[in-house]
Amino acid sequence: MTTLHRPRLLPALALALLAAPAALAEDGFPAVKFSGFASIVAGQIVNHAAPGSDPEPGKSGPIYLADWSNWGAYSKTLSLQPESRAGAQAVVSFSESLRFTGQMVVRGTDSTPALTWAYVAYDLSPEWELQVGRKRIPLYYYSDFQDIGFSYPWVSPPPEVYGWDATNYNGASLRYKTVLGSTTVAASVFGGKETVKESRYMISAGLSKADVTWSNIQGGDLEVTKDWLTVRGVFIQADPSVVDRLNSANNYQQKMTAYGLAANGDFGNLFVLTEFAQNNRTSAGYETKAPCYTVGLGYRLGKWTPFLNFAEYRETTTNPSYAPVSYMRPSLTLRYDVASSASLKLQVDRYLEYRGTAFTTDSTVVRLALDVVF
Amino acid sequence: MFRPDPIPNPTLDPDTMEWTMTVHASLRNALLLLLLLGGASVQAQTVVIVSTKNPVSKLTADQLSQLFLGQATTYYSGGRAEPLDQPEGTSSRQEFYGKYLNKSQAQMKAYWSKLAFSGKGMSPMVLANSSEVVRKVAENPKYISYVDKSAVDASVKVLTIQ
Repeated sequence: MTTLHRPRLLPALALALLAAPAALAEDGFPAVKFSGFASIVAGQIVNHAAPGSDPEPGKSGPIYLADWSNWGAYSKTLSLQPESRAGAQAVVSFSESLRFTGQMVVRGTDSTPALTWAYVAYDLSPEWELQVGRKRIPLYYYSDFQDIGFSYPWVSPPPEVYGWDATNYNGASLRYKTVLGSTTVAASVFGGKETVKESRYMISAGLSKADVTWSNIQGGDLEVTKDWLTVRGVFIQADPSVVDRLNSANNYQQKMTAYGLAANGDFGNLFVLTEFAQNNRTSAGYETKAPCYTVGLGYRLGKWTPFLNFAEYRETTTNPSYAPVSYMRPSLTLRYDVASSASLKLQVDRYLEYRGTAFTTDSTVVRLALDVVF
Repeated sequence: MFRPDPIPNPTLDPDTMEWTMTVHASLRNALLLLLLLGGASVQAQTVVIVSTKNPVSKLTADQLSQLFLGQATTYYSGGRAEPLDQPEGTSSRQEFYGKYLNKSQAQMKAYWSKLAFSGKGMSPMVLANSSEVVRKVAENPKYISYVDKSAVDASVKVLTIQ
């Protein structure tokens, strides 16, 4: 199954190649840089309350959804499938200011390689950068590097905040960064569109052949770092719609606005990661709001990093026929840096529902992850 | 500037086989030893270098950190800046990031993997060894890097980091 839309690569490549000859004369160009990442994650539900039922055909029992976007669901059987993934990236620099970046990812939940990034970047000046092509949506703080397990302290970013029906888009973004004394500022605006064929996210609605489209994606973010503090704010709007290829009665259209505020403090050994976000959707006159937050505290002890986190997700709706979902989840992660580019993590999650779904129930999940970058 | 008092040498009593030295003196010796060790690491010090063609002669610790984190891409004087790294696992690299940026190698790798895989930046170019670093830095005023003090020659200048 292909979850990510096959991109229109040709325009991006053509642009890169057209601009290339002028740059070829420069010293050391074109230059190619290859890199990659992988996370091998094993996990299972170790105990649970009342039984839930897995909506995927041929499966039974309750699940714990660690990754809504790709339907990475753990069950009572130990599995490597839900979150294991590997990616490879190539950056071709045609000059000091023109680059093409391509990134492919394979997942346990989708063995067909998906093109997650394919864009041309042009530095208009040291401060301004234009990117055109396929990219990840920079929705919340970890969204655009969510696959890079090595870069964060959890096994995966909290699904309370990071679990939406589109993760990538085809479009353009303009980014600005500058330094004001000891303060660094980065801001961007972006816009585009995404279609996810046979979205695995829609398994949650019992739809196995539904396409999700986010059209009219428009957003902007601002990130400020000073000394130990990093703050990022984001606002985004889009028009999500669903087309069920099996039954058009399931089709719908929405208007979405979302905003997020992340504040991270790094005090050397002690560090704090917090994020608050809210996703609002209007459909057929009804509004559903989903505020969520995550708060985590970590301490670096040489190669060891214990990390304690608490996250919560609470939906409210004006639609009387929709049962809003709410849950909370304390978790404890122990990270060990095996090498400067590899880490092992053990995480225990206690998932507790205020009001759950038919396929989940209060449960305890244990995961072990090996994250590498190269 | 202070001048330490003369410190008596500890003496071994041949009868009791005990070191005779006052507690104060042993504490003071320990402090002196620390100072000496500190002094020794200054001798084997990692220094920050640019080309002699670069007009910059000093940077604040913040400015240095911003350049090696890819946050700033120009010197405060306006010229384009590009950091260069020593190979992973070398003592110069560990000492540089530990001393000036207060970051371990794993933290730096995590930082760059976050940027590199989300289209926000590329980690510095890595050169084979100190002599390559000195050669590359000397040829272009945009480069900034770090080497052991012993590897510095007349083609590069050592920056003062405040």
